[in-house]
Amino acid sequence: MPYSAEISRSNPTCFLFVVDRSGSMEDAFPNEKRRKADGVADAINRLLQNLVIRCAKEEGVRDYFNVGVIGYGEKVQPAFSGLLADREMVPISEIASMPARIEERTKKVDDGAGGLMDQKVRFPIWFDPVYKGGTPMNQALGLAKTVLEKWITQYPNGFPPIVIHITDGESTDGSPSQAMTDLTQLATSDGNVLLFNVHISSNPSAHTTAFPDTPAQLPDDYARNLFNGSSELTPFMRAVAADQGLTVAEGARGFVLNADLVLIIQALDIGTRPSNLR
Amino acid sequence: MRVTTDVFWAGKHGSQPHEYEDAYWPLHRLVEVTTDVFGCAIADGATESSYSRLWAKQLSRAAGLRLPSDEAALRELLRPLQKQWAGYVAQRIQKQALPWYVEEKASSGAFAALLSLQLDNTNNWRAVAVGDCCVAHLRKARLCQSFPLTRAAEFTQRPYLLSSLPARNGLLHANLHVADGNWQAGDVFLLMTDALAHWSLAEAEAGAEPWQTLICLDPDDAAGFETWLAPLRSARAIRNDDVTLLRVCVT
Repeated sequence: MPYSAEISRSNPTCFLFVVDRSGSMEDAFPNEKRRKADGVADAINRLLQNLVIRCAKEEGVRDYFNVGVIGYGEKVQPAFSGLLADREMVPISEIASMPARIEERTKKVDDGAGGLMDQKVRFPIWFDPVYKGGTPMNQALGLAKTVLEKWITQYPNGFPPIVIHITDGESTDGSPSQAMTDLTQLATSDGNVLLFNVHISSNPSAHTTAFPDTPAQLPDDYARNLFNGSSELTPFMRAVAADQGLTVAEGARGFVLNADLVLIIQALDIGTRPSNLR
Repeated sequence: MRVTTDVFWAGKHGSQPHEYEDAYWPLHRLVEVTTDVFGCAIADGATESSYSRLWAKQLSRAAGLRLPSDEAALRELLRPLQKQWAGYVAQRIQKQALPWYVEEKASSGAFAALLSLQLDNTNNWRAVAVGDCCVAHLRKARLCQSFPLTRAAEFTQRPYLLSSLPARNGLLHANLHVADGNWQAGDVFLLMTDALAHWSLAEAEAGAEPWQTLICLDPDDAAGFETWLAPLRSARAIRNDDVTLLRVCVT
């Protein structure tokens, strides 16, 4: 049965984020003041923090995952900040020990008397917001393919890599259809690479859509292309999505349209829970 | 009532012995011990939480010594254990300069499945379970009852587990299972963590004789259990997980 390989330290899986850093990411999210680039960077940093914490045990961090981040805009390249800059794929224990910096932020917590109070929390940063240049999506997906080919050679029997592609725009180097097909045709013995597309659309007729099983309601060819290139959710991912209160049919794709930040975070969580760890 | 117990356990393949996160009580083998009331328990600490080995040990010991027969009793049993767990973890974190993620992880608490069984000399038994550890009650090597799960298909990858944080046990009332019945001299109870319980129910459903196999495991052959498990794991008939079997024979 595909997508059933155990995820262990000797047989890890990997997550590869492919993030649009083009000039339009400077714009705000629809109906919000925050820049898209800032919101996406926060979501990725929070997710990396969650992945580290998921792998943390009392004795240290277990290398269940390898993680890579590719940014594309003015440049197409690995996008970690700090000591991990230029690294394509990094074991999660090194991610844990090498954030670029740890910021202090505040979050609202229950004050125990029916109100909320500010609490200071540590917020490690591995990925910074950048917004400059065009949207060379094909080139980025091509680099993702190269990175994953190397990883698959190393772990031919691993749980298949999961690629999470976050974009707000249209590709400026041609249709990404073939590049997405090429990426998802890569496979380990446990199944094909899984591709999630998270699309922060600026099309005024785009309604928020999460994990559809048909492109019928999508507003334009561009969204339909990304839908068609997205992988079907595995049964385990469907169960996680259902746990989060989302309705997902059999055949639902890893595709989110016009995502707000909450939905991006949800999609990241669903996409990065391949199964239980061993 | 005379009770004999044997424990068989194995850590996940590829892990270190100190990473085994199941737990059981009693800790030592009993041979034909005469008693009016006998209690035992197993627990399965979650891989995805930290300090879950400690939590599983605490739970199995406490529930083995005193069966928490309903939700109120279980909450009462949990309270001091949760304090002890939090105290131990806070002390560890304070003592050593641990990296940022250790404290963050520990603040989510530890989780474990628990199954506790009590037999008495009026031939009654009672079991309490939260999560997917199971007990199989056998008579003449045939299954009388499997509890709390009865079919292999009922195992999920996300069972409800007991938390070391009181706030995380909100749905306990809906996830606490209680069963009772009668035992006869010669009956055997097999307390199993989920991987073995799943395998044995699947085997039985396929018409095989898993109960006979488990009854016949030799407690004097320490390496024999792992030798028996290895091909089943390779064939993925048993999931690669910590495996524990606490076998209780009563006469």
